[in-house]
Amino acid sequence: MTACPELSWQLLLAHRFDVRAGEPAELGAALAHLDACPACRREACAIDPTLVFKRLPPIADLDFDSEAERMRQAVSGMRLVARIEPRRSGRARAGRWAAAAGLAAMALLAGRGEPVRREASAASAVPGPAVPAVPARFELPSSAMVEEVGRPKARVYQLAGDRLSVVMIVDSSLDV
Amino acid sequence: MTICRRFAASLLLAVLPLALAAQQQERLSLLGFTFRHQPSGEALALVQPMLSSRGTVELQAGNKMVVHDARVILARILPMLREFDHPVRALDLEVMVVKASRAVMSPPVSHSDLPPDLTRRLRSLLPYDIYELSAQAQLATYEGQEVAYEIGPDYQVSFRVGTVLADRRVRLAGFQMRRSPKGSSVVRPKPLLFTNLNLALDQTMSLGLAKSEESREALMIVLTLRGAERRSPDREP
Repeated sequence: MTACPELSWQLLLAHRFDVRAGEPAELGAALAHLDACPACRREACAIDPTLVFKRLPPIADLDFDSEAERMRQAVSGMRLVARIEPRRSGRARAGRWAAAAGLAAMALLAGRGEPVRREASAASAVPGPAVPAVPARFELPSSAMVEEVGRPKARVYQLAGDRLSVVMIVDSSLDV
Repeated sequence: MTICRRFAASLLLAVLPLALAAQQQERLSLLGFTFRHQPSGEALALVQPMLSSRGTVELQAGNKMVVHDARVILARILPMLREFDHPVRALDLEVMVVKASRAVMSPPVSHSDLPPDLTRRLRSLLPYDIYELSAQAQLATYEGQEVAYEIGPDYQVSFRVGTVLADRRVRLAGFQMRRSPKGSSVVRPKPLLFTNLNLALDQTMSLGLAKSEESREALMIVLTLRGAERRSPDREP
């Protein structure tokens, strides 16, 4: 296995959010490295969940059903708190959603109990209410691109780019 | 004398919280706002997060909103409401229904009916090589309009266009997409998706539907919303 990339995944994947960022020269080797390094793979997918589609063979060995269930519980826990707690300011609410995204990220990163090499900033691969991807150096979208999809088992992956946003809704019951 | 002082101090301590509470209650002010252009209900989600713990908001007949809160809070809400209640804007929505798939032949085929920039971007983000356009429509619409549209013979979309917010986002509420079963004009179209979408003005959203992360195919709805220069209904004499 090649060594983990020296550039952070935040920098390596910046071009996926902002076309002007341009692909770094190290990207090809870094993506090849993903296949063999679960820690990097989890960190990269936490920054950009749509990488799940890009790097199919290695990522496919994640147990998506159990990961989805964990994230569903994390997010529904946050929703319950939101119902019980008194009304807060918009900033506090944004913080709470960021925390929900963080929880979802941790649930995803917790994957198989392997240690995470670097601390991931955020993730977005949740069923039901979609939590946007929130890499630390990018702005938090003020609202989810897609709200409830009415499919309890659906997994929603979002990438909020500057000109193009990508949302993937995955559900075995979809007739596509 | 000392006893008198202590009594006066105790009395003051007992009364002070009540006086402060009463003063706080007095600080609640009322803001009534009548919307001329936009529906008041759409502003509810914007006002609620701005309220203090004592603040309340209610909608009244005649497209009115009444907010009770501290004066300083109302002073922040009022300009936001004024900006929100702008004259109805015309919008153009481009909808493309695209079948995306992975090349299974060798050498891989990489056909695309989409614009080159969009194709390049999608290929860099997703594993699909082929993007075939199934249907396309340009919808001339405006804020607040209910839209139901048949895109080609197979697809139907319906939604309500929301208000353009300060951050240039627009909600397509109740976005529903249906597909007619192949070769049947009698059977009712099957629902594919029902949700609320939050689009950003002058940006493209690619919304993909797939059975699994490993699927070789996905159905994609590519939406681009832009401001338009047409006259909108409430600007007409």
